[in-house]
Amino acid sequence: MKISTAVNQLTGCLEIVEKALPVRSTIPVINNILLEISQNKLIFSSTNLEMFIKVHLDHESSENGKILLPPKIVDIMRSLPPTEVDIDINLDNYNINIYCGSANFNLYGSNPEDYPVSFDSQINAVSGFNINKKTLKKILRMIVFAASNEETRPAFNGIFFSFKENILSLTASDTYRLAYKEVKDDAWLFEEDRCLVPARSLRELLRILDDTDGDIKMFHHSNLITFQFNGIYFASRLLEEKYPDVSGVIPGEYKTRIVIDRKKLEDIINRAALLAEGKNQAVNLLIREKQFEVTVMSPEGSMEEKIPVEQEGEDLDLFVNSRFLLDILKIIDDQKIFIDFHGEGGPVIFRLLNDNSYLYLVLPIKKVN
Amino acid sequence: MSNRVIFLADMESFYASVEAARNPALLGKPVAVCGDPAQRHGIILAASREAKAYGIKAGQPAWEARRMCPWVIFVHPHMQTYIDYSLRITQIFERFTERALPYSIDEQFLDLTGSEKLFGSPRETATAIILGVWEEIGIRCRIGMGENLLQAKMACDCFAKKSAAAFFELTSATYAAHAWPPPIGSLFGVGHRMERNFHRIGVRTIGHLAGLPREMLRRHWGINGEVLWLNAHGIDYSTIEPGAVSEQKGVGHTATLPRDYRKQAEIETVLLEMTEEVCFRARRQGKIGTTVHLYCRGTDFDYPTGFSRQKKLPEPTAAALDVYPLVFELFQKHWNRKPLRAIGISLTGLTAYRQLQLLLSDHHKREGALLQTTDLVREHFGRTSLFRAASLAPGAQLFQRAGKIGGHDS
Repeated sequence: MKISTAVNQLTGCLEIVEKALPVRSTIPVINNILLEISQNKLIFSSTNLEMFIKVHLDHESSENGKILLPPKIVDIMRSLPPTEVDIDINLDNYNINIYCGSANFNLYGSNPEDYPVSFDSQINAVSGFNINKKTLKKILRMIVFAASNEETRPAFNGIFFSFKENILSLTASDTYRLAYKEVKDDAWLFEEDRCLVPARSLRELLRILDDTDGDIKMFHHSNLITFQFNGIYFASRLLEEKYPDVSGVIPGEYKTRIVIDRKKLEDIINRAALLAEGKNQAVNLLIREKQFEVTVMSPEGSMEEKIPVEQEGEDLDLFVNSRFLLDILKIIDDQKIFIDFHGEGGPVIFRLLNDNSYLYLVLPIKKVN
Repeated sequence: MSNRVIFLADMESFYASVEAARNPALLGKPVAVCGDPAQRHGIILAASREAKAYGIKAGQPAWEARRMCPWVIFVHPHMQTYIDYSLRITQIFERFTERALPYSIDEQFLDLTGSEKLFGSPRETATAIILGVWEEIGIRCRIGMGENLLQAKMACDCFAKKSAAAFFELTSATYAAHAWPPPIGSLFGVGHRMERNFHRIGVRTIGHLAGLPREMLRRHWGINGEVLWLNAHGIDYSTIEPGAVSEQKGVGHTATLPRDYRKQAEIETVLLEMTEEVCFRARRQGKIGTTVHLYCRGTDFDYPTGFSRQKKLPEPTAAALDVYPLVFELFQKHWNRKPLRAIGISLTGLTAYRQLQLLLSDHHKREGALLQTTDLVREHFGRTSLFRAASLAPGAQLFQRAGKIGGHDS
């Protein structure tokens, strides 16, 4: 059977399913991309058994059938000129011929028989709820980076989703810092529920989400969460770990609050981080007499920089990991932000001026003894 | 850069000389400093000039020394005294230069560049230092001089120690004439193994090595080979900066056991005690560590067994009970059930700052307060005033080791 389409279109689909291809798998069959061909569409799927991605592409075909495409095909498509491509697939011996301009590839596909059945996309097409795509992309960006990449405490590799009435709230933490965001939509009415989604999956989802308008249909049940948009079907397994109750770590009253120019602060911390060292990457923050001062001392030398800020409350002197600060500063695009301090051993909390449903909390570094 | 004047001052038979300085009755007699042979510390730590004449050398077992010279006088080590003497000698050096770099307990590098106007020629300065140490401390000091640290070290080891004047001077111009004829084993940085390697390729003197192409050394032994080639040419780029004592990266503790340990329970007791000791020392410096390292050596010299493995801690810490599980895990995983002769534990990647964690702060606060209190008690009333019950179990070393420095009597 024959597929004729634009290279760009095909490459676009393949680059999306590529995100769920396993890096190294003990099951050889899942290293491939499954292609299902029906009368009016092509469906590409991939999985690493944690994430599943399906992409639909409208295409008229004369036959139905299935084949496993080798992952190399993604690179091949990327390398082709942006014109039309013809792909000839022999469903008897799984031979694939690709013709594009003067290039001709012959690839060996394989039998789709053993490919694991991922999920049935039809079951939950009706249930679930809608969320604006841009909104989801924005909140995921503000949350996902705070999750842990270390394998020692699996619960912290997840993003905690909590559903209640018309509010969806997301929490991420790696035990040193925590990001929290609430989204409200009057169209929602959730039964109280919660789930823990691997941060790894959501990072891949972020790469797939584009900036076009539109809604995403979200759905979750006992062990799966799904996101449906623009003919893309993205699903991730849930983590089974119990997420600890972190509500207690967010203190109420601040002792010091400053309002500071985000861009200026980002530049200062970037400069200070050049001399910050070790695993802690510590920089010293000093707030006194409406001046915000950053200093670093290292065996290589030292730096200091001072800017005026709006200060409310007492003076302060503490150490924090500069990387934790940069993570938030480069994501936010507000011009000014609040930073709340809670004494020397207490957390540092970043808040937005126009959105009190978000906070990012960083614990300081203390000198031993 | 103008020619620098670097001295290496070395104390002759340091421990033995200190003993003689403390007790004039030992002067002029063959003296060997060594521990208690019954406790397996019967290794000669130092031999006096007279004892050396009988062929007694540091590193020999006591019984061998006794056979070489039946009337040798064995003296127990007094480590604290040696440290005190070493510091007094440093004070003498500091009258001449503030750029002094202790290289070991009995060797120090001194940078005397530009002090001719103050103390006269280098030879006169050296003589003044040697005389000062002899008159005030009663120990013979030998000084090698060079234009860099390496030349000074070579001048001292190969020539000053053998010269009556106790002083020898090497310069870049005279280095080849003096330093090339001696055997390759006397080049700084060449140990037994490297000596064997060099012999295998026909290099028997320092001059032979200097004659080889530099690239060949790098190809065979990497950067280390290249450094040896530079050494053979008297080239050394290191400097002495005042106060340039580099920051300590780790604390460790290695001990030879008083007997072979076979029982797992006994070894585990010692592992816990040593973990406790290492953590205590880290805490005293106000540091926490990120990686723990365990070293175990088997008893058989002919078929050396044992291992040396490390593991990263989940969180930087200096609390023994947080470190011990990893020590235990390393031990369980790598011990081959053969008896052990020596054990070492170290905590590396030291840092003075702790990243606070969510949820766990209460536990840490209580734990921290407890450790601070026990440390305070021990510092005031001694190591044995407050200890783990495990130190009463068979095989425990705490009471044996208390009051020692570097495993030797203080």
